[in-house]
Order: sequence, then structure tokens, then C-alpha cells
Amino acid sequence: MSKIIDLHKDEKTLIKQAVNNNRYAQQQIYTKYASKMLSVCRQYIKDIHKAEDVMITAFMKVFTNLQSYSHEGSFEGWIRRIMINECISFLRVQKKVHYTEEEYFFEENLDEINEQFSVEQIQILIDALPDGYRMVFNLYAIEGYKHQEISEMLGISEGTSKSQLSHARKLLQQQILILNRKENEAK
Amino acid sequence: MKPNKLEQQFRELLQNRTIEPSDKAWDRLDAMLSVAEKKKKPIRTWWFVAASLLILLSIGTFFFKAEKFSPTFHNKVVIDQPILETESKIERIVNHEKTTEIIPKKIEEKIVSTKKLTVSNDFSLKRANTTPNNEIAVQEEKVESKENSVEEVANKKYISAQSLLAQIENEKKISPTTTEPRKFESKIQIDANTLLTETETEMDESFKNRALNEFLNQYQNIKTAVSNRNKE
Repeated sequence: MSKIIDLHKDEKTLIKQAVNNNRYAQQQIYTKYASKMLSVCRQYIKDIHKAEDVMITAFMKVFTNLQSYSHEGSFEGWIRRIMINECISFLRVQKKVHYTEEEYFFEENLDEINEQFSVEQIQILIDALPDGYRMVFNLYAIEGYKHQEISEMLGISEGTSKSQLSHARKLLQQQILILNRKENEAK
Repeated sequence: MKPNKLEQQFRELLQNRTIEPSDKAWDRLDAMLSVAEKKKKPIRTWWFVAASLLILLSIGTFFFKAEKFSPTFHNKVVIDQPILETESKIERIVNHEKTTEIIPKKIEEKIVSTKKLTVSNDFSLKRANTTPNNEIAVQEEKVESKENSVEEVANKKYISAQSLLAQIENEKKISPTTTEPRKFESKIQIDANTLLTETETEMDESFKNRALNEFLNQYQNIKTAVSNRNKE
């Protein structure tokens, strides 16, 4: 128990030092969270090098805005939010993300898929989605944001957000079925 | 529309995944941080420098202008020195150059006139008391004529009392080229004799007392100046 408390204390002092531009403290924070954050960026950006660029830019924002971190909620969650915002900005600038304007969404009758996938397979499946679907899917299914929050973050309507998610799910299911068929054929 | 089982699986696996960044990643971040730090400091310190300079300047000009409202003490302090200086200079000149009697007389006149002039100049600024303008105008005319005549004689080799005072005080009020008529809005009654006696008594006081009195007087005058600021 005391170990956890010590870690928390250490992080608080680390953050304090980092606010004062203590480069060693900043490096400690970076070392602690960088690999996880690169994984986050990779979810949104398919090219690993670009994902790393975005990760570094986002860390700059973490350090320059560190004094505004109020210690409410987890530090990792705070950093993560900055990462995601940076990914959204990046993709918006690239003009890669298009959200189909239709607001019609359908009730899904997706079969429950009970298979286990590896992380690599999951990433492949998500990469295969169109940009708009992937963005909404990540925010909803992986990060756990609600449609109202997603609509604000992306500048779309709630209806569009729901529609995008439906399409994403449908597509994923289709792809998994195709994957399974291929695997069965291989066997 | 909650995340279904499949999505929960995705979530778990992806949240726990890590991807090692390249070795150069930290170096790039380090460089960016250094650049940001360099940019921050100069701007901030320059702001502090600029702000403190502004404050100092404003205080300085405020006091400088406020001095105008305290003619008696300021002039006394000031007049002492130029008079002494000019006297010593006159002595020297008389000894060295063997000038005629006319010049020392005129210089004396000048000293007196400039003294009067400087005093009148300062009093000319805003004060509560009122006086008929005629008195002042007449005095000024006299002063002006004296001044003009002396200036023609003025030798380059010594600094005239006029310009000495001009150097010390605000040049706006006393200009060596006084060919144009002055436009004073003096409302102050000047009694030269009492001023002279006051001057003499002042000379006897110690510097400490003088400084103290001057400070107190300036404070008083700042108060009146502030209260009178809307009266123009």
C-alpha cells in the first residue's frame, strides 16, 4: 500500500519539477507514458512515423500546458486526452476524414462474435475502416466517449456520430466474417 | 448501443498495448523543449525590464513636473548654485580679462533679472492665487529687455546665468532666444524682497533641512496638483 502512495507522491513532485522546466523530470514523465501514448496515436493514424510525430507534438503540448493540470482525474487520462485531440487536429489538417452526411442509423442486429483476436488482428481490422468510421468507432468503443461528447470533439452532429458508429460496426462484422472464412479455408 | 462484447475485447487489448517509440523521439522532444524555453525567457524578462523602466520614468517625470510647483525651494536651491558659479566666474573673468566695469554690472543685473525671471516663470504655472496680470507683464518686460541687452554682450567664454539656469530647469520656460513675447498666464503676486529674504534664510539652513522641507513641499504640491488636475 505504501508503495502506491509513494509512487503517487513521486509523480506529483515530478510534475511540479516538470512545470519548472526540469528537463530530467520531463524525461521521466516521457519515459513513463510515451509507449502507451504512441499506441493511442497509432489507433488513429495508420503510418507509424506520422503517429510518432503527432505523439511528440502532443507531448510538447503536455509540457507547455502542464501548469493547468489540476490533479483531478488520472494524469495518464489527461495526457491521453491531449493525444487524441492532437490526432483529431492532425487528421483534420490532412483532410483525410470525411463523415458521410447521412444521419440515418439503423438498429444493429449484429451476431454476437465471441472469438478472441490478437491485438495485431484488431489493429488490422480497425485500419481497414474508412477514416470517419474509424474515428467515431475509436472514440466510442475504445475510449468510451458518448455521442454528445464525440459530436463536440469532431464538430459533427450527434446523429452523424451514431450513424458513423453503426456503419463501423457493420463493416467490422463483415470483415470478421471474411477473416473467419479465410481461416476456415486455410484449415 | 453500448459497446458490445467484441468492442470490450478490443478496448482491453488496445488500452494495454504499448509501442516503443524510436530512439530519436526523445531527442526531438528535448530540442523542441529547449527552443520553447529560450523563447519564453527573453520575452518575459524584457517585459519586466520595460515595465520597470516605464514606472521609473513616470515617477521621474512626475517629480520633475511637480518641481515646477515648488518654486521657492527649488529655485532657492538652484539659484544658489548658478549665482555662486557666476560670481566666481565673474571674478575670474575680471581678473583674467580685465573687462570694463560695465560687464560686471550687467552681469549682476542679469543675475538679479534671471532670478526674478526664473521665479516668475515657475509661479506662472497653476496656482490658486490670482493677481492682476499687469504687474507681472511689466516685470517681464523689464526682465526681457535686460536680458536682451546682456545677451548681446555675453561672452562665449563663460556660461551666462541665464543659460545655466536654463540647463538646470526646464528649457521650455527659459529659452535663451527670447525675441518673441512670452505668454504667461501668471496669476501670482510676486514680492521680490520677501523672496530675497527668504532666499537668504534658506541659504543658512543645512542641506538636510532643505531636503526635508523640499520633500514635504513637493508632497504638498503633488497633492494640490492632483486635486487641481481637472481645473484646466
